[in-house]
Amino acid sequence: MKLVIDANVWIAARFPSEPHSVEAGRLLVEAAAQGHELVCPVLLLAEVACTAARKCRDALEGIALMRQMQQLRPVAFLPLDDRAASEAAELGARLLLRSADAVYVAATKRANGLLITYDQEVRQRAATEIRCLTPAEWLERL
Amino acid sequence: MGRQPHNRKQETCFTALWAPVKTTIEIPDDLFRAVKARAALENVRIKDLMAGLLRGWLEHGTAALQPGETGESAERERRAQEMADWLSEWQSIGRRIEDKSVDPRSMVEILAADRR
Repeated sequence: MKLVIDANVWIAARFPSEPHSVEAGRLLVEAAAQGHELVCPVLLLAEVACTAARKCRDALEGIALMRQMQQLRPVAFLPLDDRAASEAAELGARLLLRSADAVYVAATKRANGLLITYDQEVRQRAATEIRCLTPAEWLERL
Repeated sequence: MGRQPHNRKQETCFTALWAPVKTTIEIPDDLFRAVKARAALENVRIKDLMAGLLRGWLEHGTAALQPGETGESAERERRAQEMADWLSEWQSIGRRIEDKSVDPRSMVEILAADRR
């Protein structure tokens, strides 16, 4: 099963002060243990780096976090090429998604996977196209 | 014709002919949780999975089961450890960012605001 992990889950696992930090970390370990393929749109790298740099006003920390992300072997990054961008645009327009959310929904649909996210709006608006769960919901099924 | 109250053998045969047999087995808790999760994700019923495994064993014997609990368990452990090690480094960078933080919001909040 391919799990598309939203940036908000990766970032939640970053530090105990983040909401749902422990739960997000547990999800990542369990998902890896069970051999699920973890998939992310390559947009994730920019989201992680920009958010970290804005948090501490230090570009190097943003880049460090991005490089750590790139080193994680079980993760496959889906390119944001013309086709992916078109799919995201069509889905986003049809489902009234935010642009970054549309990229995740399109990636999940293309991967025929399951989107793990804390974003309630995505879950509601994309429910007709893809399966979405929060980390807590996914963990409850273990 | 009235049922003989002591004819237990006949009742057992009746059950086997007309309804699936229900039984209880004990398996490790973590194994059951993993099976339950994967079955839900793959939309497979555990009872169908069990029936398939048992039929495979009847047809092919224990050779069908040889890939081995030990090997799978070790592989699962290795993957979990690999992610835990990575997460430890991820959180180490996360702590540095926290120490240098100039924005009181959590990073999840910053990300959510950036997406809006």
